[in-house]
Amino acid sequence: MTRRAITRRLLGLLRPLAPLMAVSITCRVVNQTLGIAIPAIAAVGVVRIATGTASSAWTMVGLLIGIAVVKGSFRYLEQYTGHAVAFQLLATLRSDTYRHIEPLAPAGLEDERSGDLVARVVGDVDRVEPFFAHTIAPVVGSIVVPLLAIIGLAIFADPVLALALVGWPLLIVAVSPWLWAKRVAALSTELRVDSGEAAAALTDAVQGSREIAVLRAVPLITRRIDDRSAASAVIRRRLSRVAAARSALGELLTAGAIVTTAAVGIARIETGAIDLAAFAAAIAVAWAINTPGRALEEIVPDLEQALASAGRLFELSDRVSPVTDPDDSVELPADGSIRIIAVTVALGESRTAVLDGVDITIPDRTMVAIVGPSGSGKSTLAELLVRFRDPERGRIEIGGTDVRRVPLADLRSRVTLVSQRPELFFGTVADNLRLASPDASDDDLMRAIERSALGAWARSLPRGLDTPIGELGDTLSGGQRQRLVLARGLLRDSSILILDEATSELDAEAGKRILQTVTEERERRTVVVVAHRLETVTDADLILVLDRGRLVETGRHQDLITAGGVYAGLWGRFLDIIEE
Amino acid sequence: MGRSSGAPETKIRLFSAARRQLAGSVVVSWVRAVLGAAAAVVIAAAIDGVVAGRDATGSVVALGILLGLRGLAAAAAPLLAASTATTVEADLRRRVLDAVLTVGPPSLRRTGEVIGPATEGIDAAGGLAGTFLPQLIAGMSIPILVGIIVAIIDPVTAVVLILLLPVTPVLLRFLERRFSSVSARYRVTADQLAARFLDGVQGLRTLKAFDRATDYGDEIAAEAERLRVETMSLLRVNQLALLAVDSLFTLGTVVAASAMAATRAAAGAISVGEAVAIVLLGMMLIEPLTLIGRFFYVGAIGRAAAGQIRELLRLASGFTVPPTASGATPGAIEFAGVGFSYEEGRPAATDVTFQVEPGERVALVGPSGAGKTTVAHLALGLLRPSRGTIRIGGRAVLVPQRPFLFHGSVADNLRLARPDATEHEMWAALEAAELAHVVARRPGGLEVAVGERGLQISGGEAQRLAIARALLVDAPIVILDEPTSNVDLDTEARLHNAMGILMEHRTVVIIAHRRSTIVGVDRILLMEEGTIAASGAPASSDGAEILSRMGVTPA
Repeated sequence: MTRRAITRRLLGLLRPLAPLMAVSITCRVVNQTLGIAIPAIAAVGVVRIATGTASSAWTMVGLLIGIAVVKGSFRYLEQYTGHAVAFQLLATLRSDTYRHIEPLAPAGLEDERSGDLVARVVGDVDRVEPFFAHTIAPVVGSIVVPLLAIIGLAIFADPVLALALVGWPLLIVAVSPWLWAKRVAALSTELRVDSGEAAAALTDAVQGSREIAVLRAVPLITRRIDDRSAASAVIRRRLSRVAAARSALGELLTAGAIVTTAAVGIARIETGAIDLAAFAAAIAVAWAINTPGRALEEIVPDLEQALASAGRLFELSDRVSPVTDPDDSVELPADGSIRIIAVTVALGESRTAVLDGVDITIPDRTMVAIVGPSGSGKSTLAELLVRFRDPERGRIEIGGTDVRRVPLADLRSRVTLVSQRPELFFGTVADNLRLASPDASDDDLMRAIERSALGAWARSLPRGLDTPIGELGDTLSGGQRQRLVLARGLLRDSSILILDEATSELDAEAGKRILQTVTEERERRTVVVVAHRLETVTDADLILVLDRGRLVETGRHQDLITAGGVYAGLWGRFLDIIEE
Repeated sequence: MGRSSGAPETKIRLFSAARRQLAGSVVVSWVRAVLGAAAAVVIAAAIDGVVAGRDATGSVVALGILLGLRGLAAAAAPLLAASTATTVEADLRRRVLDAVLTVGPPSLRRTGEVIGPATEGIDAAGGLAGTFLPQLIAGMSIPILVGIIVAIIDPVTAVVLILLLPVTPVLLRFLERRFSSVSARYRVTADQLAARFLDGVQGLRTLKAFDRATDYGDEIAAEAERLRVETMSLLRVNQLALLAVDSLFTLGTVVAASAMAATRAAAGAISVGEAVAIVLLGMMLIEPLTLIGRFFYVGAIGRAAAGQIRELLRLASGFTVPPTASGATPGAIEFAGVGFSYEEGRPAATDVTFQVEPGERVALVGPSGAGKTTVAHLALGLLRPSRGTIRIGGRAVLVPQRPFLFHGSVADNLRLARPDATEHEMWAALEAAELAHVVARRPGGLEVAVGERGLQISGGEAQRLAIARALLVDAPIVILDEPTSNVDLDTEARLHNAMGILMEHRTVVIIAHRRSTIVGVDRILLMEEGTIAASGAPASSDGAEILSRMGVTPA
């Protein structure tokens, strides 16, 4: 995406805020212009009084006090509207970004190159927002304020002096920020990488402090961190040289403005073209005129960053979801049987097959367990059933209907996936449960909680189910999280329930209660258990053993033990672990 | 390891390392102020000269020289700011690292709380020291310099302005506070929204699974709007102070100076030129406000970060480094009446007594929370006992259940254990840890990065890398925390072989979770509720008792 295209889209994003922003910018311009007008008026007043052309100092002082109060009011308005813009932008940028990427999830948000797309999106939003909230006004001010001051000078004092002065502030705006802009942008990126590495090294040292102590690696780690600090210091020094040059340039241009005004002004006085008051006013204006422009010095590198971040965000929101609703949809039958027919899925840059020609038939209202070593394709199989992704080859049928012909919302209301990552959200315990079923009654919630072996826990909560998740913080163990997420899944009245390693962190007692619940569930619907702890599967109607993307064994527990294959090996190891 | 009671609350200076640069920055501001003030005086002379009909060329030249010098002095400010920031950051990184290692890994329960201050916090503190602080100091002190120069022109005006002098620092402080509180408010709002957003993006799978992703988007928007309205109504009143500050500031500086200049000029006490110079000098008093306005964000964020870092360093200043225990037979471990508690009144270990002979293999078993890990950390010297004595015959090394791998290459991770390890030694260690074939497969070999974009390492492989590290340390004592998680069969067999090699000819304490391991050791120690409840060889009657309590039947 070109910079121009990015800028255009960003401005489009800002359009609803334009009126408010215009008010904010206007207030800023007025405030700053009055800031120049006050000394100019004061200079005129002082000269007139000193030379006897004006009699009383009080007119001038009264006028100045009035202007000072007006200036203060505009400062208030500028800040107020400026914050209004910032907060508004903060809000819309996030909800817009969310709305754009939400349809892509989850398959469309996977990125082969960088692992953590989520962190990147959040970082990019953070970089775009302050830029537009806090930099547009200074940019406008840096151009408009000097021009207004010069126009004022031309009207009230002397057009010739105004002409002598006009070049300097424009020169600052035109030259200083762009000077070495490329170099600054490159160095800034380098610096960000380097300080990122220094931070990462320190984070490492904090997280790995036990290893460092045991391995007695303190000197090595200290040296590593010092090296990173030194590397970023070198870049910072180079950057500061550019900043130094800019700063000097800014001040020298101010010096130029003052000296030119003085030289031209004195000549004009000597020829009698202007009076002393006009000269004093011009000197005061020259003294202050470059201040707004100096604010631009730091902006350009930030602009580059903000544009890059915005570009990435736009690119992301332009992506097309790999999983889409069908054009002509059919209704899903109530039957909870599943057929997986010759399914192949390849993932990652190398397109290695995660599932390789898998055929599975699962009858309605049965309990099926999928087991296998890590990386065998179990979770991918679970994802296919809710169309978090589609297979490269083969198809999946539920109740005899191809899942790709069913609207996504229908499919996901009929197939409930309880995933291995227990994702909880801001809000209360009840809010989190009602995600699955917004109309569930409190009794429904408690029943699901009891069936997930969380009854005693829920009753011990200070505010019961209305306790905010955030307040629980670290007191919520991994096992409790999993059970909470399981309760959420149970609340949903679907014909298929998939538990993807949903019980991996449970203790023995909770495990037993959950096992009972799962056994009850199969009376009502098809239950697919992707299992980690094998005691949950011994009772399954069918156990499917996956290994490296292929279905290697199927059968009931006892048959598979007798067969002495992969499953029997897993079982042996399972028995070896002591229950605590 | 507790905070030594009654430790003197020493003041923690964060920016002492850059004291010279900071002083330099302030001096540069002063030099610029004096040059600017001198320029105003020269303008006064020029005006008076013109009035008197003298040639003003000399004044214009002098003006050019003074302002030119001021421009050159301006170049020093960014150089000093950068030097201050980098010095402060490097110094703080070291001090935070020291603090973290002093407080000790097991006491740092929640590393998340440290990482914020240690990373972004340090950058923000650097910004505060480099950019904001010199401006603030200069802003407070320059009025005094200007006052002195005004006194040279007209003592009466100077007296009046000096009476108003406190206005500048007082208003600056006040304004800074206001800015900080608003910006803190802004940050809180932004953080809340960001957390909500992050929750949503990270939880998209769940939201999609329940078909609630769109609703959640509406909720984010509604929440954002609510926060916005609330904050804006707060600001409407809060910010009114700005009106007063901005007006008063103008009145207290340039308006006051002009009023005095006009009055004194009318009285004939000063010349026209001098009156104009006083107006210009009044303008110089406004500059600090402009600069601080430009950098207030840096200041507010930096101040908050500095507070957090100070907190962290203070925590460490109360700790004492545990002395290394010694005096035991090489390879032996002796615990005599050892007690330890992380928190007052909640002991994690009470009266732990046991010996491990050189070369012996001991399994530490017991329910979770019984104190096995605490005992391991005590033996490693990571914790200091509150009671009793521990003697360790030489160095002990740990293979934890979830080893931490550092950013960097396989070689970087191995050299932590032995900084001068040769390639040959590293390959030998990897070979013994059954990891050589995995590393050799990758282009770059030992130099391949560990982690996301490099060598994908599974839990079992991470443990084998930790074993390779332990082999490079070559300590006489090994403490192993056996994995419980299901790794795949092939990995597990290799892990066991590697563990076997590490345990050869060494004293071993293994926190055991597997029947096969427990049955295979020389002796079993059963921990319950922070103490050794029973011990014995697996074949002895005591051992059999422990095994049956664990639900294990001897092979």
